Amino acid sequence: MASEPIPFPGVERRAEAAADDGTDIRLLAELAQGQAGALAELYRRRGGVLLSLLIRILGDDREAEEVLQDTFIQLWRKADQYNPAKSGPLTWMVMIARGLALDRLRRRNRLSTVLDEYRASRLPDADVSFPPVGEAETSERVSHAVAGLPGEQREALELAFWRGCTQEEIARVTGSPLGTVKARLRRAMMALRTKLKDRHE
Amino acid sequence: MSDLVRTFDAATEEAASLYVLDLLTAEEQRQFAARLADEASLREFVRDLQGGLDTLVLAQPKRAAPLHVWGRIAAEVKEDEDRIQRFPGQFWTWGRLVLAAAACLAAGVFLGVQWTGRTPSSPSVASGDPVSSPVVDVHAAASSRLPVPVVTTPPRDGSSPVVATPPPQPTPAELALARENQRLRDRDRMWSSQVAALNRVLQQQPAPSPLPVVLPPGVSRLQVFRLANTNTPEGVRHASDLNSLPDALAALAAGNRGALVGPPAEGSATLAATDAPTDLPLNEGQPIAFFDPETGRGAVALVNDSPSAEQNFVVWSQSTAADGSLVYTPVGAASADRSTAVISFTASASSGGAPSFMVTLEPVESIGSLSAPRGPVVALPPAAKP
Repeated sequence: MASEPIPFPGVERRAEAAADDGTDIRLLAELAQGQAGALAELYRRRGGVLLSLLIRILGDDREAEEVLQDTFIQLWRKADQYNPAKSGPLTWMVMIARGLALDRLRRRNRLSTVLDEYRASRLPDADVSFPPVGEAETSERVSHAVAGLPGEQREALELAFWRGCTQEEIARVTGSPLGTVKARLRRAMMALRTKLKDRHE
Repeated sequence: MSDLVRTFDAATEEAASLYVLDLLTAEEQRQFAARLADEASLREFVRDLQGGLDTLVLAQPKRAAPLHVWGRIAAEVKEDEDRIQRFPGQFWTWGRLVLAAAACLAAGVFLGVQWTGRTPSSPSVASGDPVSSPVVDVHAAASSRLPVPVVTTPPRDGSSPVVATPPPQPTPAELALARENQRLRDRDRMWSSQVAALNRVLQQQPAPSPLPVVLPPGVSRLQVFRLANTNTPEGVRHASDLNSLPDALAALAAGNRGALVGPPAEGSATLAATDAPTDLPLNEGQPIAFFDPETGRGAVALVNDSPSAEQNFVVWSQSTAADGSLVYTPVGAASADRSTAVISFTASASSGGAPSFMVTLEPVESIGSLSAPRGPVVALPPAAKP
């Protein structure tokens, strides 16, 4: 049965995104110039989003808060290194937060544990990657959009982005050749981009 | 997002995907970054992929940014400030040694040149790879090729002119050192500026209250400000709305005035921390304080975001003893049960006659024995100094 395509949330976000990105870029520039009020404003704007990201990666509220603190200290110290030509401001902030979280996982030698847990919880057709959260329409739509990916692509994306696995680790966990893992990741990313483009045009 | 939908070959798509997922090796990443620098369409493509991941992040269940984490961030930034204040002295101690060593080196090179009659060899850019030749080498090579200017000064007494000694040209080491010094000074200035700005944030100015506020009895003037945050938090109603946050807090404090737990002692009175109604239009995670400097009455509202189990907010009254020293008296602490709470208090008068208070974060286990604030300051009234 044919069904209506599920709107991808990126479209709705795009109009806001430009303004949002502009605000974030301005705040990072102000921070780099020494305007500390910008740090408080960035925290207000993005602290919650980054905390959600960190909780998702670390699975522990307290630890996520510690890394959130480290993230904003890094923003404070490195704001002058942000280059809008290279990445969006949120991408840059996410990169810092995610990097710190994955470092912590690895430092505590928990990655193998995370992978073991992941293996144990694996269900072939379950939406293990992005469970619907039901809180916001956007979240639900993203969940649907990602759930529309073939299972193996979704799985590869989950392991790569949220769990911070290397290509080799993904290959080991999924029992797939390295080349296959790369191809799955490419297809998953392309599919997300296509949905974004399709809805945009 | 660009209107032009450019497609790439599978290998490029794969490299771009792995790049945004941070899965490339260091060498692969370097190579891909080099491509990005040259290809605008590839940069746009990568931005699209990053945008997709951003959307996934934004789609996570929304969490409030906790205030106690912000308190820790502010405290750590303050530590940075202390380090910066110590740094210049250490830097210039070592910096002088390094400069002296560089000067000796330069003098040695200069004397060596005079002694041997040859110019020191410098890296040449003529045969070098421009990509791998740093700026300092270019400068050094240029100076080595250029003739040293010789200034002749006609003597006033009419004797034969003397040749003035040319100023020594900076060596590559000196140039590099000067650049590093400049970079450190710039960084120092930037950090100092950031810290100064942050201090201004922490020592907030009173927020204007454009709405008529229901003042507690006896309070003639009310200053309302958020703790460690000068920005309007999300969810707080704006000035055009009725029943604003200041209204609600002031009404709440007025209703709680009967909760005095003991007689005023030495000019201060302590009111019990009281649970607030849960339907107040308060923003989660953004404590609000208000204070009347004329009467010394104030309150701190902690809304569904009491500090962690390890730390509590503590409100301190600040006064000045006869010998001029500052005296702090704890007048209330927030419970760590994560419920909405308001600490009402009356602060004692300081030496200038204006009452003063401050709010700090303190370890739970030490609260009963604290005689002075030790934790990071999260709020000060506008005129108060700890």
